[in-house]
Amino acid sequence: MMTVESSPATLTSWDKVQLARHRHRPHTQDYIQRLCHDFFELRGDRRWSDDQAIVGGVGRTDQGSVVIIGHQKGHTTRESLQHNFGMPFPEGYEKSLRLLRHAEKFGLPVLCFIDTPGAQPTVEAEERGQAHAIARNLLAMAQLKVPIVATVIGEGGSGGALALGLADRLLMLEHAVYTVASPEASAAILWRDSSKAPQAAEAMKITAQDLHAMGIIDEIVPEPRGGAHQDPEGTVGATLEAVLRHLAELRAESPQRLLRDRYQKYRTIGCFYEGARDTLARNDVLSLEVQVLAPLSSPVGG
Amino acid sequence: MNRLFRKASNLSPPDGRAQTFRADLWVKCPECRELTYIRQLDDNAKICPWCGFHFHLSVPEWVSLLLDVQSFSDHAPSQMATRSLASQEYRHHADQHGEPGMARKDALCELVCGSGTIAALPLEVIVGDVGCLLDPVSTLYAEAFAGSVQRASERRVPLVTVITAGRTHDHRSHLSLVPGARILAELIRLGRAGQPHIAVLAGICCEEHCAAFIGHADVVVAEPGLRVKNSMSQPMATQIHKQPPKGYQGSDWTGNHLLARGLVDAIVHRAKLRQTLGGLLRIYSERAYSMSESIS
Repeated sequence: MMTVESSPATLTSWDKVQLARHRHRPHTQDYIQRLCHDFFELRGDRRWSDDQAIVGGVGRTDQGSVVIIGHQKGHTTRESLQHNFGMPFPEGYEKSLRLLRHAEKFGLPVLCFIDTPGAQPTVEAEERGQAHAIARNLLAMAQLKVPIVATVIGEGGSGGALALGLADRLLMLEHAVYTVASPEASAAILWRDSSKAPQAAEAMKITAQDLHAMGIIDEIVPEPRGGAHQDPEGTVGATLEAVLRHLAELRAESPQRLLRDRYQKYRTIGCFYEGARDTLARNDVLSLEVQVLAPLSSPVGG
Repeated sequence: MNRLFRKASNLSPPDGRAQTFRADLWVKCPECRELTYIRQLDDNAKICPWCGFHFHLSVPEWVSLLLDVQSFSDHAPSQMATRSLASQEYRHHADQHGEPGMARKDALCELVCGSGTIAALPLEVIVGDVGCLLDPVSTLYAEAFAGSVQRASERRVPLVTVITAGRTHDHRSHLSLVPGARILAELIRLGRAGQPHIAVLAGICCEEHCAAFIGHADVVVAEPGLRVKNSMSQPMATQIHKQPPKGYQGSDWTGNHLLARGLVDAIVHRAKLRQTLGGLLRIYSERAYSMSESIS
């Protein structure tokens, strides 16, 4: 188990998963409180419910007014229950869609804070169109004419995280994780054994360092030694400094340029293997396959 | 010495008037039943000092509560026309149905539209008190409302609407739904002008308001004690000559329920309403991004 004294270099992916899930990491509302002089929470999807797993609203920052959307977990059990442990129902994504449209209507940049184990996986959520709600968010973000800066501040789990992650700039905290599924779920899928989650976490390349190397994220925000929960104030300050720096760059771009660059960014992700094949020697390709693909296709430890 | 032992009745004022309870100086709170000196209630924005119950505010009181001092400029012709015509429609309905007390002046619809400032930020404001039997989305009401939204679009300033009502009603004009669409059309133009529509709901409001235009406001703020009712069950009973199923179009929701259902953004105490609106207007006035360049 990772300790406070552990050096970041010695932390395993599984250690980082534990850090990313730490209850006392700063959550979205902590960032909002620090960032905004005035903040007004916009609640509800105007249809059915106000899902507190996603919070958001309009706020005034040093760089002007913005729309903020983020998954919200809790620091206490009561808060965690109130926010459903950061797992939104479709209503939560409908709320974020409402906020995205609100942002575009009034020319307000969007700041997203991602911190969820995933979208609520129950039958009720599925029958109310969970996947569709996420897809509608992605569609909206892909064509939004205002800057979007997203930051993974803790756990970035599955489509529930991706729904707020289609952005012009995607940042990650040093010990945050961003993954297609939780390591436990992946271990259960791959090896029918969720106890092999640490091995799955390693194989899935879910850390900020892995994703930065693959070009999926744009910047890693350093955390204090031992993790963000050791110095929440400092972490929030460093994160917001990076967010506002990226926002300042994007504010100078026209909507046309923003859309073009956003398209190019996502069009490019995933092409690295195909493009690399021409330039890498055969041995390099084989080595890459062994490193990345083999752990996923063979039983661990067996 | 005998004068010291006179009966109490002999201590009455020399002019013979009995000391009576001045009912016009005291108000009993319908919520906690406590008596409050009326001037104290006025100084407290008509909020009960004992339990926080929000008393009904008249249209002029709303204007003075929310807007900066002497900033309000009334669009008088529109207001007068609305009031005058509203009175005609109202009286026509009163004549037809002959309900007692309908000719009371205070039961008439009041709609005030004008310009003003909150925290020195310009805006158009509409305050509608539909505590009467006039349909809130009737032609006349909607015409004044739509005109004010149009002014907000042309001036490129935010729009704040305050909808408050003392009671619900059953009368509907034959064109009652169409004007709602007209208002929406104007609100769309307001949105295209990049200006927000902030709605304040207070007292007892009707479902028609929400369906027609308040539900589409960019920000919806409710006062504590808000109730939103659907009053269609009784007309339906008359129409079909039997009682509709229990609960049929008879909703009666509180502000907290609407908040949980995602239909309003916040419940704001009246004492903080002006500050809240000022903060919102400032947010929308300081945008961090210019979308002036069009997308090809």
